[in-house]
Amino acid sequence: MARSLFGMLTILVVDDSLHMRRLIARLLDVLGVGQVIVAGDGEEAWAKFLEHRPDIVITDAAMKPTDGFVLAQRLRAIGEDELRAVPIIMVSAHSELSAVERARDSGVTDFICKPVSPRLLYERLVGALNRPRKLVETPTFTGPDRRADTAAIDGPERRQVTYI
Amino acid sequence: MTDVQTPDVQARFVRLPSIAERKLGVDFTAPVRLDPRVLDQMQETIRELSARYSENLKTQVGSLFSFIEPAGAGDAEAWNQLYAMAHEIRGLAGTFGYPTVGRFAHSLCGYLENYKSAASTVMRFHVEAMYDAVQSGGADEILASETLMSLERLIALTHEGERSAG
Repeated sequence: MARSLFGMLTILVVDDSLHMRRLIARLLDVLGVGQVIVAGDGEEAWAKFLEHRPDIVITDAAMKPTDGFVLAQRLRAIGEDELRAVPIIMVSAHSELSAVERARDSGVTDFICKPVSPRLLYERLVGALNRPRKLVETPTFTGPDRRADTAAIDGPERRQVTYI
Repeated sequence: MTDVQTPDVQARFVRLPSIAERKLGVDFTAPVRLDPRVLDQMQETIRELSARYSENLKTQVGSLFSFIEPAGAGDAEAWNQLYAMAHEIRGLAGTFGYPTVGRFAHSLCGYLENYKSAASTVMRFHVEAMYDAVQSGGADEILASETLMSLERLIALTHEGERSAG
């Protein structure tokens, strides 16, 4: 059933490096992903996202003119819940804590430091499939819930959960 | 009747059905462990693409030399080109079987990020290390570690000298 699920997936791969785009697209092909869409920067990705409505976005961080952080923020600002909650996996050579924090604050779901390994890519994809995270919206942040579901809440419940 | 006070809502949470539920109509958990046969196919794919990448890497590293002197002399465009190429190499080289080249590129990027007035000597030593690693297949991790330590010492000496002079 895993292969049939992968066969139904549409994944958008965004990277300004032709080699990296080609690599990730080919690895996804081997995994049996049904449709892989590629884009060379955040602008092209935005247009292709709206056209193809992918299930998962895998994006590089540093790109011109529009980088992966801005792309993530734009995706998290879409009006439609299902699109806005798309899992975003950022793949970056920037392994510094500041880059990871910036990705988190931009609404990125998961982060892979380059070099990319097949196992790591698969684990992140399965994470997006098996452990969908709630989308949280506050006046200053929209993105995946950073807290684990199981944690007990100490104090009044101030969260409003909408099940769709 | 209990008087229930609704606290101020400060966050809205949206819980969507999983991708499996949406696609298959039932909840489904994909295997966490990657099938070894699929892993082999993925690694074979990387090997296939590596051959094409290694030619590109040789050209790319070779072309880095031309940016060193202008970047060291303060040419912003040359600095940007050098940084962009080094950044791409640090992201790709390790994936395609040149981990030591990736480590040298990482060191060069870190140097350029930390020292805007980068010294040509330091840049040249980095690029030469990358060049040698590409030519030799770049598999000698011990030599790479020793070279990186030497590069760190060179950076410290070069910029300590500048601070003393300044």
